[in-house]
Amino acid sequence: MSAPLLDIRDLSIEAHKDGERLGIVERVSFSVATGEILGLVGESGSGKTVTCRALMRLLPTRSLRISGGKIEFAGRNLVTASEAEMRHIRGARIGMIFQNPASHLDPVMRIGRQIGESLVLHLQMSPREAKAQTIELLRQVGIPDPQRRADDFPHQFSGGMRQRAMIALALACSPELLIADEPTTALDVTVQAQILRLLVELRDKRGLSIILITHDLGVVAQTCDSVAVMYAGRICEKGPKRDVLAEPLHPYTSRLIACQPSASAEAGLLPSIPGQPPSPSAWPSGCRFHPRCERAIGLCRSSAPELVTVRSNHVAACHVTAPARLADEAA
Amino acid sequence: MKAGSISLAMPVRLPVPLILGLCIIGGAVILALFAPFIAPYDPILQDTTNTLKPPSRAHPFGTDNFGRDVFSRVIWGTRVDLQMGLIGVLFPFIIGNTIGAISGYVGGIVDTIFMRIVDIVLAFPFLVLMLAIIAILGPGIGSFYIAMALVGWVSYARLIRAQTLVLKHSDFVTAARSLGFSHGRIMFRHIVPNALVASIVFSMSDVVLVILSGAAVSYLGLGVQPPTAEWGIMIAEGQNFITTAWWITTFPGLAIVALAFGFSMMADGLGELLGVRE
Amino acid sequence: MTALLEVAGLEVAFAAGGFTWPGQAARQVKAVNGVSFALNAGETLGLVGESGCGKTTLARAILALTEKSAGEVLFEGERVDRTSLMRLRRNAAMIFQDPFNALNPRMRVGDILAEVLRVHRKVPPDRIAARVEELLVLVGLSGEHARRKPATLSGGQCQRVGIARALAVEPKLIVADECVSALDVSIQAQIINLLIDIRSRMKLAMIFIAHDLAVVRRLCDRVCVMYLGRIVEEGATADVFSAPKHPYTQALIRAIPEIDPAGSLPRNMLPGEPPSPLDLPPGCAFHPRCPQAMDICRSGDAPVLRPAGEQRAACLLYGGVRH
Repeated sequence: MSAPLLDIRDLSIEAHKDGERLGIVERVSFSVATGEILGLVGESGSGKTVTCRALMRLLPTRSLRISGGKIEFAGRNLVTASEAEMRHIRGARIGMIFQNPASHLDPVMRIGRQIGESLVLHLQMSPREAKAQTIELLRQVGIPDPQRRADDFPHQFSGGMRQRAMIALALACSPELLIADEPTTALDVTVQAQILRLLVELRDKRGLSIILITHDLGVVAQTCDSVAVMYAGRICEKGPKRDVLAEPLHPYTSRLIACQPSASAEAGLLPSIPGQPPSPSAWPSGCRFHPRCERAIGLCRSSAPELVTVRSNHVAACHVTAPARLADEAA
Repeated sequence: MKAGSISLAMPVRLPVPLILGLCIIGGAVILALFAPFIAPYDPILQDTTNTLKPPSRAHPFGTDNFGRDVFSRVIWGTRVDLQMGLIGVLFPFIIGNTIGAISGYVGGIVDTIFMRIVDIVLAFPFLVLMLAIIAILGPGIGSFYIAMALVGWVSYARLIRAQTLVLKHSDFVTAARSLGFSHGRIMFRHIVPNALVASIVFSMSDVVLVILSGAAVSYLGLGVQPPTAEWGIMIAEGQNFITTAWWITTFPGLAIVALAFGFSMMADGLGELLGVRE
Repeated sequence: MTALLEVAGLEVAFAAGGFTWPGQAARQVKAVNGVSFALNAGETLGLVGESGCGKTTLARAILALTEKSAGEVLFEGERVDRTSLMRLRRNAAMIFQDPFNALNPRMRVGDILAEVLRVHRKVPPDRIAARVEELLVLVGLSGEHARRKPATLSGGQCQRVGIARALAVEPKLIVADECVSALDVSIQAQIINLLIDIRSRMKLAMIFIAHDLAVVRRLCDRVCVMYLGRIVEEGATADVFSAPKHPYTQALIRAIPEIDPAGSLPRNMLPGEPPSPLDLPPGCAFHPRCPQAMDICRSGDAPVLRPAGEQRAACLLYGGVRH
């Protein structure tokens, strides 16, 4: 494979609060190839959303700051890019959609105008061209009767339609990368499947790269090519979707897969993870998962495991399972 | 973020504005309580041999046209103005919150009636309505308090009613209903303690408003009567000498500003401390 | 034996607002439309459906927290009305979706639980503190938590307090409204296990409202699938999941994202979204989205629940064709 579209290396993000520095995200690395869908999985507070905000350089600067690492997007380091450069990249080259489209669409502006505005702004289209292009975009994201619906206001759209409009808005300037932050969490299951299908189709047709932030491994299984699992500000496992889901290495990943209820399973108790995710002001020492891990050994308490490659592209940070798997592979 | 998100747990620390406000108001309370010991002169003692003297070592704030010590009068004025601010807020606070909470919780025709009354009161300009009431009752501090209570409660009523309407449909109130709690318990244990925060914060800035209206009313000769030392009266009496003896009006003016500043700091700080959500 | 809870022909209508001419009837939305079912003691019933299908409104109407416009609710064979309301209140409790909003932010956890014990005179006053601790331990917290305020607890812990408060009543019925959907996956599993545990220990009946079918599969004996205010399928959980009858149920089950390493998006997905309850289609409300819709589905009254296999479904595919 050629150079990836997006390559994040050792990205760290700090929070400043009352003179204290808290590491919110620590040395996170992952890359996204052209046309790849990467699932970024983690529970709330794991740092997955902050990481993606950082790569758009949309962190609330007063409290959060990138403290190290680089974000290489199409050969440019976004950490050092100027604000003017970022303005061009945001929207035009990296699009973003959110969990709650209602709060990210202007409620008093017609859907069509919101999309057209960005076309005029970024692509210097004439209003007439922009209008035609807007209708074409709405048609592509599956909004029926786009000619007429372009003149509707966001509140006239249903939840699923609003998310489609949001996607059309994000795609207006044909970005190479789309960041989707829990895009289906607020939607019903039947509508969720439609939106996910749309994202996969867009990837197939346009060669779009997508970072799909989610807490639902089922969604990852259905849509992603590769997956990175975050826990307490660090990546604990990443690799091709099939490998990670079929043979998870990190105990956190395995437990996460186990404790998600499945419709085919029988009734009864679920496997669960004891305790709760830690907060940045009280990260555990060593491997941050060790207080909740049933396989933890003494070493886990004192030293943080590095990511180890166990098979092509499949890496995990665990003192116990990674060496064991490496030994297996060697044998 | 979802509900499971982690908040950065921080030890409770008093907000700076709150500390500042508390210091200023605390200072004012001490001045008011110990005025007889702090003030070097009798505030109403006239000394015709010593009129309109600029600030000096003997009279730090100078003397007025009757030869009274402005410094002593400002200190004694603290007593009157502080009392005026607090009592002037207390009655509207109690009346407004009670009516507003009942109105919002009960709803229906009760709510409609109370809210129409609020609209009527609000339709009049605040000061004009107050002056009219005082004019009917006759000048004096008592009339001022009654007028304040009759006019000032509407802000509290509207504020707490809005809060009550929101809280009425919150899950914890639904929970209280589903557990068979009585209306009284739901209202006073669950709704009012949460709804009151906004009213308390507002009452702090309202104190400022009351002191200023009190000063204005006294200035017009309808509130506190001379020769009592009160900042509003002092400013009124000193205005004829504003070009020749600036100190008569300036120092009570500064006192009002300082106390107002203290209370608004207090309002800011309380708002931050109590928060809409803790 | 009479059922613990019986719901017969329950309807809840809301005024829809909007302008109406004088004399014109105000527009109404029927959030719950002719729902009937029975729940036995110790049984867990799952109520599933997409947002806006009326499942939460139904739960609130059952607990008399929302005015019903028709039908009745019988608790232990007795009609629930103004005079018998306290009986229901002493025997039923609710658990909420948003764990933070469900607890009074100004009260300590211990006071929240003690209040219930005091109001319902569950234990003598000198035993209250001990009982509060007992309840906290029961839901996996400790006595230390009694002194904390909700804001200092995590979402999962708050939900446990909510469950403890429900248990303080010593109810026969618990209504849980989406009580795990706001929680993280790992915490979700803990709470579901807690519910399974206390249900069997205390012989509780439970109405479990969820949009997540996989969770319902774990927890419930029976399941009712709702669509636009009506129950469209009802039966034993195992039957409904292994052989769903109503096309809507089939689509819902197909759409559950399973963690299958070789998984992909389901084929033949349901098109469109539920129509507005203000403007219900005639006939079967599901027909505009139904892949198997027939001409008779498009007009007349909505189909009623009829036996279909082991369960019951409100679908004309399973008989009941009108002429």
